[in-house]
Amino acid sequence: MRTPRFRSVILLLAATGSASCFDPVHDDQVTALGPEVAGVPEGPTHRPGQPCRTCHGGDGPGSPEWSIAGTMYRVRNEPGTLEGVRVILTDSSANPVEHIVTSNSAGNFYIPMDDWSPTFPVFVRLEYGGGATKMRSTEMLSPIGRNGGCGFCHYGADNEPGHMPPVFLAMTPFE
Amino acid sequence: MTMREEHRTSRSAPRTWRILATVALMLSGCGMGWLVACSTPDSDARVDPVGPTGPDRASFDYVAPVLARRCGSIDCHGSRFRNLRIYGFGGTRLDPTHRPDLPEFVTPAEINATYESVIGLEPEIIRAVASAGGAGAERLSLVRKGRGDEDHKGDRRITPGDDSDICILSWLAGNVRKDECNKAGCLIDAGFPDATKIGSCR
Repeated sequence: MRTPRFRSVILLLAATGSASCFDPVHDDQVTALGPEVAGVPEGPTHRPGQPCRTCHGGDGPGSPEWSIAGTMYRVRNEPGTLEGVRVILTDSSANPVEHIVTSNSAGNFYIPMDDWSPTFPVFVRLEYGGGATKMRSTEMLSPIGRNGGCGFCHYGADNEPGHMPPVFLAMTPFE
Repeated sequence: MTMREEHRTSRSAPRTWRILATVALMLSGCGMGWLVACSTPDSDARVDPVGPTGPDRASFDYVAPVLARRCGSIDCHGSRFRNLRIYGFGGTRLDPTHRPDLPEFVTPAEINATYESVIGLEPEIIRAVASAGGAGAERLSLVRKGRGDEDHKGDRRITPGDDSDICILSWLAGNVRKDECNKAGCLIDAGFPDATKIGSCR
């Protein structure tokens, strides 16, 4: 026989269980990113410059999960993105693994977690050009500590002490 | 004077004295409070839970770049949202006019701030470890989490016996090993400490 007390316990357990499925902080972070830009479908070229792993970090709503993902810009603190940059990542496992990914037409690059789950810290080198065009390369002096979403640290203006501007290849404009 | 009036007088005299004494005592108390309240506080006074026997501040100059390099990226302890904050190149800067990548060294003010963070994390234990010449360093969360011996979101950042491990343990022991610190912190030593460049190394 189900007593009122029994029903209360069941309701309490159900409420606790459902509450634990929601992370209001994460929900707020996703909401803060806003809607998709009109004319750009969800996919490899959407939302350049945003912190990819906010949605593609395993907690949804994006899928699949990326281990490393970001957007490449041409020049420090300037808006133009850059296609064709080879992002060369090396992890810190006992036998370091090098993984290379190339930025797409929106400047976006990403590595599915199923393809590579690196041991942090991860060191980053960028290469661009070669062949007919001048080869350019640069290295990020501080490693990625634990968050493979580049936009977590690289965002906003270039004049604040707590974050870097979006990921860039060059300090000054180039042909 | 009647007997009744005499009696009243003899009883009221000590009572008057008692009231006067109480008022005087209260006034003197107020006066003391007033004096205390108006005295100039010592602006240099600090509660120092670590005390003079804590780990050495001067030789921490060699340790701070190691922590900045190994632990202080913006997504880890170089974030202002962390309990253990580490300041310096590659992380959050103390000076609001600085940027994570400029200047390319850990400033003296940042070394001070990181030192305060480290000794304030477990002040009694770090004092005991330093007083014991570094013995029992594994009691410190700094060491256990850095080595990955305790649950740590950043996993293992320091391998027992590597340069960074030797650097930190030697500092706690009061005999900092500068060469190991410089290697672990990727320092290009050019007039230490003001030009403590952090180079690119792994």
